[in-house]
Amino acid sequence: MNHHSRRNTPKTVSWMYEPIMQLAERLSSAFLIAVSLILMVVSQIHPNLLSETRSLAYDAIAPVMATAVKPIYAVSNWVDHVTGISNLVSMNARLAEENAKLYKWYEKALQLEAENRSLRELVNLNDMGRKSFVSARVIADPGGPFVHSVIVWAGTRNGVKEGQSVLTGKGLVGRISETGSKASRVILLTDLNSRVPVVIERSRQRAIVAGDNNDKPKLIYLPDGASVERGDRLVTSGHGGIYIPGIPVAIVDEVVPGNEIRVRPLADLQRLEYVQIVDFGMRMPLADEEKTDPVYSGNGTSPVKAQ
Amino acid sequence: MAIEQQIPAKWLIISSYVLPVMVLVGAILLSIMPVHVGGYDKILPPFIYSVIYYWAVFRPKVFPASLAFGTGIVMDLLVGLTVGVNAFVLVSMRWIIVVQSRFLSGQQFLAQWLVYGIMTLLGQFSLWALYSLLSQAFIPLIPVVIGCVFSIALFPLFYGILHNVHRLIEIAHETP
Repeated sequence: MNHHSRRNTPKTVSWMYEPIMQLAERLSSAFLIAVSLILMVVSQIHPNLLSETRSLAYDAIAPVMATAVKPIYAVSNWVDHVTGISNLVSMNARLAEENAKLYKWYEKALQLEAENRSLRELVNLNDMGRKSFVSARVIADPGGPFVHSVIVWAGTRNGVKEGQSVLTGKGLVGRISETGSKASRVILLTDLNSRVPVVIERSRQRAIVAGDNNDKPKLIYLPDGASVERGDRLVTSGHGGIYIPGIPVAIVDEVVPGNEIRVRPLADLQRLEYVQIVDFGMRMPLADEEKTDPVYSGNGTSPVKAQ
Repeated sequence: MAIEQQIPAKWLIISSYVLPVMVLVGAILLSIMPVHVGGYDKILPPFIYSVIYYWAVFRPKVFPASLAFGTGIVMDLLVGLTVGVNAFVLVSMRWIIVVQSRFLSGQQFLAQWLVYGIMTLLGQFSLWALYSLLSQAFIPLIPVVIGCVFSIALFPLFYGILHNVHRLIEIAHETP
């Protein structure tokens, strides 16, 4: 009898062990699903509650990514170099033509700059703050189809602050939405939560460039009967106090009468390698204003925190 | 002589713990890497699903629910999504697969691939629906679908890597 029960013990243990483990597995999964749902609701209600944790995550990943992206950029530059060689002749002809045109514009720009300076002196116009900038490398592009943002390797220790404008040589890229000490997140123009007050350069009519996770953001809040044409250039209007007036943003790409207007960002958002984070010394909008004003309100993850 | 027979037992055991973590970290890094190939940055295939699927089917203890949860939270923090969205999808996905693991582990590779494809679509559509709901906006669906197609197409590569890591774990734990 004793012998019989001893022989069966491992089988009994195994027979009991498996359902217990299955139950533990189910309970832990169910518990963690419940925790995820609670976290989702909490971080939706208080988007800034976990911003410190986010900043820590950026700082932790920054040195790893900064090293990991080096070979990728090297390969990418090599591919550009190789593909560039095949287009060398046609590119040269195009650049020569462009250079001749630009030279005329350069002369014009010098003349306008002098005129502008003298007019500013004449009316004693207050300049829009001091300008200082930090150049930073893009080290991660984590958003995928859901969030259009990049992580740059510059943070509070480099003087980066939330709300600062991010530019390339061609135009506006977006704004700093969260900062860590070593790295920061930039919300791109195309992101669902991005709203940039602009003015149409030709007609001086105001509107908003609103991202919706498409490569071409929408132009909204345009006055009735406004004149918009394909190819119109949009620059920041300066309203709201986030961006200074005159930063090139996008050009009008599609105008469907009675329907939406799509614009193409001037900066190449798909090939960002280095960006300039510019501090124009602008005052950030108030937190309450941000939550209620359609210009600044974002439905999603991380609205800019007022300073 | 097989390569694992030439490695000292101590290193085999260390590798059996380190390699699964390295594969996981690699999949996370691949998911946030800025690759300047036209449009790739806007689809970012969910490589992490391959890791979750493989361990959930063949060795759930290597990737417990708590690790799926932690991975989801890290992804949410890095991506900028509402915290909990990825964690919810990853833990749910792992749970569904673990429940069916006995059946799935006995299937041919092609059947595994098919099930992985269905799970990837299910996971990404859940993420899309949740994020659209939370942001009260219609997120474009095409990049999500393209991301799924990439992830499904690259599954054999990840399966091969994970299969080798799995083999190493088995050898390490069989070694006296």
